[in-house]
Amino acid sequence: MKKNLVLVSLLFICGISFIVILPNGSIFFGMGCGFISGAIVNLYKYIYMLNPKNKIQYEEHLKNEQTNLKDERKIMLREKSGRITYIIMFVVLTILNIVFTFIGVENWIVITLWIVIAFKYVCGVVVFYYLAQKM
Amino acid sequence: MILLCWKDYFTFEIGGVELKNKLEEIRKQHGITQEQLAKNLEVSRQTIGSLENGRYNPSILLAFKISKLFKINVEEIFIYEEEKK
Repeated sequence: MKKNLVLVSLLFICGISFIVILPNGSIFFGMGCGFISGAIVNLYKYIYMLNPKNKIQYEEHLKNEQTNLKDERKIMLREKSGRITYIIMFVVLTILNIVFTFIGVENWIVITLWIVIAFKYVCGVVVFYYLAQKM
Repeated sequence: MILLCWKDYFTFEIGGVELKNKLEEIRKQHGITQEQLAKNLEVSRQTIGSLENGRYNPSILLAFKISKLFKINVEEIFIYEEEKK
């Protein structure tokens, strides 16, 4: 509950600062509005949950949330979907980079993309061996 | 050397050995719903559905939890069958 209030306050402060401190620029204004909207939604949730009428519903919601978080099938599915996304992104990035090279996009973009691909690959290997050593 | 072992994290195992189970039968014998069983085991209802349909094999912990709940041996609930080649 307290975490929610901290999140609301942080979002609100960020939103206000984006609008007030950085007034020039529609991107910051948009981001600020987004943060404030998020804060309002979270504040509404917080107030709704504080209501004694909704206590049972809230407790049920928390229990379901915990169950879904610890559910082994869902954990497995999350891991699997992450792995599939990793491989898909690898292929997409490589194809994109090859296309960019042939189109003749600026060199720094192509080099950055190759670095991202290499980093992704190395990161995957390092994390895998780190986990393998721990297990 | 490490970078060459790409197969370890790029390969996918599709399918595998199937584990048949009598969970649905046992659950119905005890007269409890999928939701009640899920609540007792602290898993989602979808997990129970997948287990009963044989689409998902439980972890050893969950298998023991189920056997403890119904007071039946694990082998009586889950039947291991080797894949026919």
